[in-house]
Amino acid sequence: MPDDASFISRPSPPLAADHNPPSPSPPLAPDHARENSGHPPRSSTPETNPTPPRPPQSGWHAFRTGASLTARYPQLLLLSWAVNLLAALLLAALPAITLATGPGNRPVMRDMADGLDTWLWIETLMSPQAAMQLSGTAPDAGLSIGLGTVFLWTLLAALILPVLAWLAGAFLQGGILTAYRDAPLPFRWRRFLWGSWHWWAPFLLLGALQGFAALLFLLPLVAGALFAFAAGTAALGWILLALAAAVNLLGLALFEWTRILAVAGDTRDVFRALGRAARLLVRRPRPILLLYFLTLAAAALLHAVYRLGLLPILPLDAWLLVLLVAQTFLAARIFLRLLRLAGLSTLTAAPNPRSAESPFQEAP
Amino acid sequence: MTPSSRLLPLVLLAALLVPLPATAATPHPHFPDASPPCCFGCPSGVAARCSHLAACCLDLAACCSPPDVASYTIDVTLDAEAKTLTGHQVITYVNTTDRPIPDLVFHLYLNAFSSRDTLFMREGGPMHRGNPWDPAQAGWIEVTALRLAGGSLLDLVEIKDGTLARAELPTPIPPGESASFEVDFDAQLPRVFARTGYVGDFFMVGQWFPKLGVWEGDGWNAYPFHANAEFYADFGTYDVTITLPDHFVTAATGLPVSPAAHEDGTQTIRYRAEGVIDFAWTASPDFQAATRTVDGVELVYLYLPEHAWSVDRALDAAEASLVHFGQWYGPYPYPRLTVVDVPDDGEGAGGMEYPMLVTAGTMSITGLPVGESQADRSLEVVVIHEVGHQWWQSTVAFNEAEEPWLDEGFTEYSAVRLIGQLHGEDTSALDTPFVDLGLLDARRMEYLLSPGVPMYGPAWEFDGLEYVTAAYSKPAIALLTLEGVLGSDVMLDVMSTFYRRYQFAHPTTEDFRAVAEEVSGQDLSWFFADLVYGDAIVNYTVGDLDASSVTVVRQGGLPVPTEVLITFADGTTILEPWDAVQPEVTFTYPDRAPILSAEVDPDRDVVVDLNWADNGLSRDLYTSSWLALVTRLVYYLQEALLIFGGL
Repeated sequence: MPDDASFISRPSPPLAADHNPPSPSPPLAPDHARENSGHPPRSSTPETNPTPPRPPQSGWHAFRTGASLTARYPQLLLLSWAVNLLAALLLAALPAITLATGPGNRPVMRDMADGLDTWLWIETLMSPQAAMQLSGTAPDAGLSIGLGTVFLWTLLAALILPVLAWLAGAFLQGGILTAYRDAPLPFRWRRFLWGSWHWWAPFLLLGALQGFAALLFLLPLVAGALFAFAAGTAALGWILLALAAAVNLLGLALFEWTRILAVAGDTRDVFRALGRAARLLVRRPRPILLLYFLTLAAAALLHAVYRLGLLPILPLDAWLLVLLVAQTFLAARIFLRLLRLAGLSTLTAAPNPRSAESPFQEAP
Repeated sequence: MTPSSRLLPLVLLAALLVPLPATAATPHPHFPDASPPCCFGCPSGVAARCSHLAACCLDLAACCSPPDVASYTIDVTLDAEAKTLTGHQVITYVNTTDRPIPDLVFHLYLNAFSSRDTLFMREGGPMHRGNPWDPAQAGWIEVTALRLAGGSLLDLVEIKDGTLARAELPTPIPPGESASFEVDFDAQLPRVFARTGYVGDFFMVGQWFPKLGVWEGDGWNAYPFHANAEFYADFGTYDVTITLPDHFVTAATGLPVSPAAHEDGTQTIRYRAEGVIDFAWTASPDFQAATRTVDGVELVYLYLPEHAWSVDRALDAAEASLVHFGQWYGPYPYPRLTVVDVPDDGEGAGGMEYPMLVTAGTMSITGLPVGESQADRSLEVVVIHEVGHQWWQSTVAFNEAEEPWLDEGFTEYSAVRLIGQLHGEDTSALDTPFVDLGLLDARRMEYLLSPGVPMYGPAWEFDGLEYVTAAYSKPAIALLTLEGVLGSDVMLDVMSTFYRRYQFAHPTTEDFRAVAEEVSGQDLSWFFADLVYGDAIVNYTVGDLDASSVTVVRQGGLPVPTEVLITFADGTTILEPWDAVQPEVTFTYPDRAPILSAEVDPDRDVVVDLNWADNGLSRDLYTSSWLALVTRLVYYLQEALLIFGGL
């Protein structure tokens, strides 16, 4: 099987054509030299690896190796989940405080705890109109109990959210991928933080590109699908939606693969990495797409269990139970995402079977 | 008044078996001089046939068959290629009033679609329910001859707009007498627009023949065809013979009798309906029929093949309507009910009521095709609403032009009530994993846009959005509020009494007020003076709250009687009635445990309340509920962070 043989064990060499001088983290520099030069030490040299893992040979092997790597570094899972939770708490702070000081003393809170009924949305949306109607008859008519403010703060949080996700996500990914690149060396916080800082700016740029690409390609497809549904051509709508899903998947794979190649190749030139990722994706899509298929299928299964199996039976007002189940679900989702990144990282260690070259040895 | 001597023994027997309720003593509006028992009251000149003897003396209206005031015998031919009608009709009109009738006034509804300059087009614009009016496919009707039956020609003169015309009679029709007239007419059907017309081979033929107004003793009650207004007509027997190509499947008001095929490739089908106010028919070669029998009524769903998925849903909704409305108000009075499906590009023909025939449609409230998904209940909503009109328009025949809130409001109240029971209050219109919408929610949203608009008023005095609020949303909300105040049993008693008393009659708002106050035993000025005729609005809230007293406040001028639920620290509660006449009232409890919370209208019976969320107040934070909400908010934010940033 050509693809099975395409990723055989081989240490990751430096990116031959990386012209970003000076490389802040020469992959093979000895620790003492790096420390002398002001660079953070590499966790270990290949020579000191206790038991080098056998790199995967296919998408399935990447999936399995990714799972074992993710389990090997629980710090990454814990950190990702903690940052996710803290960022959400930060965003939720203002709405939560307003909720406590305004409608928190209204019996309607009990209804809201059971789920936000449509009447409440409608009433909140319409309350300015109703207040205007009442203003003639009751000068002090104060229909607002603060729900509108809660929704405004929530809306503001929703607007800030993509920016916060972009900043924090780009920061974490550098460290996470550095850790996976250095596997199976023990996790070191200093190394992680160095990786996060080192690739933060390039990954921010990459994230912006990814967002722009989504607006450029995804938005028209989704809008077209909605328009097709509205126009009564449901078949066209479904085709466009399927196309949008495929484009989304390819885009995700391309940009994630780019980040991984950048870290594996120790380059901050994300444009070159993007070009290489695109070429590799076209030339050897099978293991990558298989890995994506497996992780996305696992995520779909997880969603099904959570949304169809657990959510319907969870009493929404039992907040502690809901909190525990939801956080477990989110942690599992993060685990799957880390698994995918780890699996992709291990794929970079394998050479091209046809040219017997590493992906990083391709011509720039 | 001459009773039917043959039926007298049976009537007396029924009277002995069934006690006469108090309401039966009220005179029937059509026969004010009638005295109970009911069948004694049918005036001469009016066909007096007791169809349900046992029920006859339960109430006056159940006694006689509907009066034949304006009866039509029509012979019409459809040219399916040219989309034209050629008709000949004989009208037999009975003057049931005490004044002579000097003239005739006819509605010529199809002329509303003849040009952009008609009243209908100017008011409503050239677009109706997504169907544009096409000047190349306009509609019109022309009376080619009007004469006294077997007699002289009458001169028909346009009154206004081409949709209303008048003919002077050589001699007035005396009170209690009848007269017959012959009318020849040609009509061009428009491409489907405002309930009538054709799309391809599909025909929905409504408002299609010259139709008399309603003589009310001092003149004809008839208006030009306004965009918002619907119809108003006398009861009568319709005997309609339709000739059209033999490959068409048809349905109509009434029962089919004596179909006949001809050698020239045409067929003739005769329909007959008694006690109806209108006659509409439909035809398409593609129609397929599905039928059920519900409480002795033949229920027919005529559907197009592309909508085969809708058969069970439409029949289920229509059956539930027949059963529940029959239980709530009184039995459906006709032997058959046909629900007609319409093509996707002819949605303008959908969602309309005629006696014994209603049109539905498969378009969604979201503007998207409903499809086979059960999540979108637009199909059920429209079927239940239109079938509801069989009670509140076809049988209790309000004047839809002058008081549209009565027929649309009563029907929408019935629809909201039923579909909420069938599919859940919160999911009756839309039930998806992400968004739910109850029909009541949708109606309340419309109501909140302009809650002060009076419900009462002629259709043409409202603009488009106001009309929806005044005729549909606010009446449904107001009647649900009335039910909340009176209780469900009393409300159904009010509605069923009103239905029985005014079956086959033309009641007004004041007639409903009389019945409602009589049956409930309450002064309902807050409902009629402030809500129906007036522009009053209301918002209940809690003003002040301390350990021993609570002050509740009515904002706005609508005093809807309600209750205040007060909860004390020891877990006990008190439900205080509050008539809301005073805008503010304080309840004090010096000898009880400290007050924990207070809530006005805790069951949310006052649906007209502008804001339910501010109805209650607690001295303490609802910590557990707050945490539940914050937990969920945090979770959703975490999900979004994962999607956007891979966190």
